[in-house]
Amino acid sequence: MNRSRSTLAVAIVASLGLASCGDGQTSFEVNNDVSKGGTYASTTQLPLLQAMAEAPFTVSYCGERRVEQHLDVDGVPSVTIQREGVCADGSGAFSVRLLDSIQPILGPTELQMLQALQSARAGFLYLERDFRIRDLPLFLQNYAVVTFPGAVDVAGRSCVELEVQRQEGADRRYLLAVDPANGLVLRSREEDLNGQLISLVEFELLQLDPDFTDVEFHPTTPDQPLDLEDPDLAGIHFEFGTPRFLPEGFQLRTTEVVDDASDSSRWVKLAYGDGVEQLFFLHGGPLQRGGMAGNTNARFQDFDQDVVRVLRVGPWSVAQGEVGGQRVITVGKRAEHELLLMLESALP
Amino acid sequence: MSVHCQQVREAFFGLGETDRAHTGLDGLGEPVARHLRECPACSSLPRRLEAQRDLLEKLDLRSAPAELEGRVVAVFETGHRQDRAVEALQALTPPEVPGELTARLEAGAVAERPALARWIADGPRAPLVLERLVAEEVDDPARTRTRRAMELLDRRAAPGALDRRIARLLRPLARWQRMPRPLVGAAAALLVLLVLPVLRRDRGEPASPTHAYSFRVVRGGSIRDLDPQARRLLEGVTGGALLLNRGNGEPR
Repeated sequence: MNRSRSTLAVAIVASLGLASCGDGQTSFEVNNDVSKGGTYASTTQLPLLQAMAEAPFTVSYCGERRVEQHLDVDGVPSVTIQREGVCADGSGAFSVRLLDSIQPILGPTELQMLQALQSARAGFLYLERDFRIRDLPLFLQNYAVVTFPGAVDVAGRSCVELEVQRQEGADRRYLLAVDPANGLVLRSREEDLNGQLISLVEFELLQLDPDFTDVEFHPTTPDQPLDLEDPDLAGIHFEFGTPRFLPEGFQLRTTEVVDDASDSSRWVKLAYGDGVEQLFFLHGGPLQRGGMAGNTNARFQDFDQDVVRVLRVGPWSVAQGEVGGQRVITVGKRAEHELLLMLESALP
Repeated sequence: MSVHCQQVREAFFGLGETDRAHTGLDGLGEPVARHLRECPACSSLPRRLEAQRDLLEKLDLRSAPAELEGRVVAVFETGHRQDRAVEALQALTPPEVPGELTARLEAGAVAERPALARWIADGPRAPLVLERLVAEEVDDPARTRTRRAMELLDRRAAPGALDRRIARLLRPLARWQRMPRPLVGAAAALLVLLVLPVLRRDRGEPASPTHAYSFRVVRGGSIRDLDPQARRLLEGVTGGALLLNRGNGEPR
């Protein structure tokens, strides 16, 4: 999880190479002809981007932030607004706590239940949900960064404004307010190209180098990458396939085995990234029919064989199905056909 | 705070500044004034109010943005715009028909010009194109505004490189055009003979967006249909939005 300084140095060198030796479409050409008075970031912004990539794990802070999600769920527009507390000790440990649900308003019991659920997935929220530069060279290869003149104030800190958008095939963009002193993204607004808000994470309070006496950090375990060539892959007793097709600019980031307690089955979960966005592929092996009602397998029995169901939730697409007797799932902010191609390419 | 304190507080803050200035505490009535003197919780009310006023007076005056005035006027006037337009139209005096036109009409000019005769018979009508434009404006104002805005955009000349690429692409076509027509016809017939069996064989398969996949694709449904693994992933990446989403009034 923590990147060493040497790795980052390599990343910067690689990214400088990308900036200077690309195909003319890299994000680091200075170009003043950008909407809203911004300019494409130049190589002088590389230290800031590097700091942004490191900040979640190297800056010691606590804060409160507003988290909004504007999604279409089951075809119905849904807005949720939460307030959450977040802390990081600057050496890799972090905590995320749901403080309140502003919309919808919840009763005490509902709120406690949600707090318990969110507490259990604090790691996922911190590592996967929030905007983050997860791989700087890949980010530089895939994204264009526009900087804006002047500064904006977020949680009492003077921030620089950046606009981040995929270079090719963009359907969304991120408007960021970044604390230049430490690289923390204090406001991240994700919107579609018409300016429609999709999600917002904004610090309302921020304290640097706080007292962590009362903070309970989320337990983290070091990444243990799987050897995908190993035939006895972590107790996976089925023929496992990896996608041969990936959307442009994505690379494999992490591999893990996920246990499903409901039916004692195991899934291989692969996470791919393009520097910012995440794309997940899960392979659950052959379906064991006749399982208990309500468990994973029973859920899959709702579908015919060789049928893949596609669902859209806001910018997220989900494709799941049983194909050739294998349970497969893909989840990502990509077009439906890309997820389907990815899924099909993993089949034997 | 007792109910009495609440009443005193409401009475005190309800009194206008002018009243307080002219009447002092006596203007509030003796019971209220006595309460203010004797109640420890309320005795500081006048001082706090004064302090608040002092603070407010020290604030810098900010000018309203220039566009605010225009917006206020627009908001207040919007409802009356149509009425004013109707009044203005009604106030117009119809222009008189020039005497020369009357004379020429009487002299038989109408007979020589069928369009003019129809115009006189049907009464004055707006041109059809105007009617169409008005109908489009009424049906879809946003589309009309967009079209107008696009018409205002500068037309950019294609770069020279594009011309060269098009010319290069069209070069083989030009060679075909120079070929003898019987030869081209024979080649086309041969092509049809080769492709036709393939087309006929494919006709039996339904055209579908999913035809490229080895599985059938079903779109839509509810997140409740998702496998728990997929749902947990979605709940995580959407930060609990799915958990908070209320379907049929019930929390998930």
